[in-house]
Amino acid sequence: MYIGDMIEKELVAASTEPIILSLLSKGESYGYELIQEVKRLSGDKIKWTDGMLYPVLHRMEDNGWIKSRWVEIENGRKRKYYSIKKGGHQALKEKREQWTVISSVLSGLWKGQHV
Amino acid sequence: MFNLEQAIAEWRRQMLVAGIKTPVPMDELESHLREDMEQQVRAGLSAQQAFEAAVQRIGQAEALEAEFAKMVEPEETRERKLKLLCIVFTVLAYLAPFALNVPKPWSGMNATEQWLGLAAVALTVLSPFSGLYIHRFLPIIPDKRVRTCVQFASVLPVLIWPCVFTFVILPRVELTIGQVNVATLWAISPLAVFGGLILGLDEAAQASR
Repeated sequence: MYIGDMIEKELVAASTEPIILSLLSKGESYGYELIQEVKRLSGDKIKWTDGMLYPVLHRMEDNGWIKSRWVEIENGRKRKYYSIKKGGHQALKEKREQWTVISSVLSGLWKGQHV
Repeated sequence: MFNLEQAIAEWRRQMLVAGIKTPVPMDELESHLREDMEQQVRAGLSAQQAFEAAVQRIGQAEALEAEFAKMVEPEETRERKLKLLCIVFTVLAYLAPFALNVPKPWSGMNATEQWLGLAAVALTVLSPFSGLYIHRFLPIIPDKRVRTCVQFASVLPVLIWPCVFTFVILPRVELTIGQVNVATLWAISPLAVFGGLILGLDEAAQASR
């Protein structure tokens, strides 16, 4: 079976919010860590452009799904941590239902088919 | 000799020179840049190589600017908020004399007239917001120019109506003070009803997209 090196950017863009919400539902995290985690989980097939993650995070914060706080780490450096809010859990639930439907439709259609 | 702090200060300056205008969180991007650099240095790159690689990965100022600009509210959303704000202020201005009891609008009214007056006030206060709900029953006019023309055309007779009421109808009828008050309150309500319809036309066009 052939799997392309990278996932199409439209699909990556559409999945960004549910992925972020899912990661943050496990605990608070920061931009760099989120990017690394997604790279690791996807086996390097999903690569978010570093700078592009932040507008998404800020939009999600404006939507009331997540919140952020600056935390001082070693050497006086600061890191901005994001965590999920109640509205984020609700949004995740809805997105999860939508993606589950799509996933089950495709699984049903592709059952027994060999690509 | 590579100076990291100087390099980061220069990078921030270049981002600003490149035209970053939207509220791009430079501190957060810098924090990311340092994080990425540390990882690369641990992996064996020199500080300078790590910095250059991290800058490349984080993206060019123009691309970042474009991404953050997408967060700015669309013009139509802003317009809608402004319209709703105007409606709220107009309603408050309308209600102010009642709240302050100036010039004693309920005085000289009997119980029936007070109820009729209250009904007129309720209709006037609620009607402007009706557009938020009745838009599904209104025609969809996608062209903003045509829509604005229709809105102006429909509001014009309503603007003439208070003059007709004040200068033509009222002087010709014999009414008590209470009846005049009730009639005036009902005469104002068409303005609010049409205000709601005008908002509804915009809502219908937006909902169809």
